[in-house]
Amino acid sequence: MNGDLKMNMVLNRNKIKVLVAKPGLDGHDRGARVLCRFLRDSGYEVIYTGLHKTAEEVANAALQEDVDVLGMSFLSGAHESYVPRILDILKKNGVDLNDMVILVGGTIPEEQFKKMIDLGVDGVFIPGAPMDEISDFIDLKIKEKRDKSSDQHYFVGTKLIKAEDLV
Amino acid sequence: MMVQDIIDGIKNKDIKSLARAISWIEKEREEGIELIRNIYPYQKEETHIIGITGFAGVGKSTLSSRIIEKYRSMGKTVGVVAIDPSSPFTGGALLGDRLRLGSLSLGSSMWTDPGVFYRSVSNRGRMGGLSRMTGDIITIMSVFGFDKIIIETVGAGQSEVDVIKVADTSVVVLMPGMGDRVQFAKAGILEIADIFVVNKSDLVGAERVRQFLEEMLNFTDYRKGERRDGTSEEWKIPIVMTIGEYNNLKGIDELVQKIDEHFDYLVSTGRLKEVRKKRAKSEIETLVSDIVVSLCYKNHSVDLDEFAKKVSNKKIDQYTAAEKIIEKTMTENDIVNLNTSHYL
Ligand SMILES: Nc1nc2c(ncn2[C@@H]2O[C@H](COP(=O)(O)OP(=O)(O)O)[C@@H](O)[C@H]2O)c(=O)[nH]1
Ligand SMILES: [Mg+2]
Repeated sequence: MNGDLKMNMVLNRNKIKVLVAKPGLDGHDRGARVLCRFLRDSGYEVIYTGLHKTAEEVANAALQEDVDVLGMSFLSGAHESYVPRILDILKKNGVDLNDMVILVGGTIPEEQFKKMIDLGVDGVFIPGAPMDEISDFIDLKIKEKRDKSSDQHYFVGTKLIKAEDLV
Repeated sequence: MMVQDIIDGIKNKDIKSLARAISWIEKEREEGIELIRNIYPYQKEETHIIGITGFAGVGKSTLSSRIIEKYRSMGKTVGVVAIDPSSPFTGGALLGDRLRLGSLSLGSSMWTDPGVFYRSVSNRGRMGGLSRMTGDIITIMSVFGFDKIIIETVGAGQSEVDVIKVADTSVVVLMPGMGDRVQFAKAGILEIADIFVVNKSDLVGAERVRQFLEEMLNFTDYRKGERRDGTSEEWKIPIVMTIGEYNNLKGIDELVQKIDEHFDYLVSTGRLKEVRKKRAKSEIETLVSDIVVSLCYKNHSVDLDEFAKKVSNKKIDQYTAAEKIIEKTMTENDIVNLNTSHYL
């Protein structure tokens, strides 16, 4: 606990706001709820959308809450239609994706990782990825975006890679 | 983004600018103070600020959502600030109020309604205190131009009660089976109610809660007591029985009607001006003491530990120590060109 506290003060996570979203029709959110609790216990401020949200609802929530991180969880392959629509609405409303960390989690086939990144996603997490890696990646990405770092990283599936190694 | 861009954005009803302005306040950024200095004259006089408070789980978020829906059906725009507690250990928070906001899967969506703006904030880690943050967010929302602003907060502890004092109309929500009378009284939230709600009136015991409230309201000490606007004799505090769940709705229309009646009452009697002047007074008081305290301790020539040592060694008394600290601070600082943002 002490370590957590110290970590939190260094990283100032409690000023980082994360929206965990469940867009689409799938009715399972155990994973999303577990993630919410993990992130809260790691010191972030977490907002959960609940199940069955439309693309418009998710994008509007991210916009109004002005979140630092938007994490979207999918189980049913719905990411292919939802991710582009949500990011599109955000951009139309003046959100700069260089200003928000975008994560996608769930059953995403490997051959689609690149496509997600090209859309503006920063990290793709598949089931089994240790949650610590999610929080580490959030901290790294927030710093890279804030500092407009020339060294940008992505997370694809189970590993952290540099932008230039993305194929 | 520059402060001027955000100001222009807010005046042009740009949601992104509104959202960012609130983040500056939430994150205690210097830009937030500059923003308030520039926009305060544009607050709408007729904005109605509604506070909703009560213990965790009584149904505040559920009721807020029903109230929002009702106001939307009346063509009123609504801004919401939903405050949730955060963990004292990690500072992290699960801000769970938005979960209750009516969405498309349950009917019509308040999430995408352009007349609704919903913001979740946590209550901790704010040096300036919760009520200053809430007050500043309300100022911004009022300039944006919402007809109604709803603040939801858990009514536990003094700082939470202070938050509700920024409201024009405060609604205190109770439910059946929640502790005994002493517990209600202790929480200090009964005194601030303009309207009482007994929610979950589908559950047994709702009638008992209502009787308890009625007895209390008939008790003259309460009614003549320290009402913040001295209105107890004229405004008869109503008790509204509600059910907030969609499949069983009850009392929402009546609640909204009472909330609006209270505002009409404040306006028509001229008491609204008094309420707001009181609020301004307490805002200034807190700011002055925050700034003075911070001036004293950010001043490097004041060594608090040194004074503490002297007092504990009985070299000087604590009153003298306090006087010396303030004297030293006042003479050594450039009080003429005070820049508040360095001290908040
Ligand atoms: N039986 C019953 N349950 C309700 C009613 N209103 C809300 N609830 C439930 O009470 C729980 C807490 O509600 P919430 O609005 O989150 O309470 P809050 O903590 O005061 O904001 C939820 O499970 C709601 O569905 C009601 O009128 N009757
Ligand atoms: Mg709530």
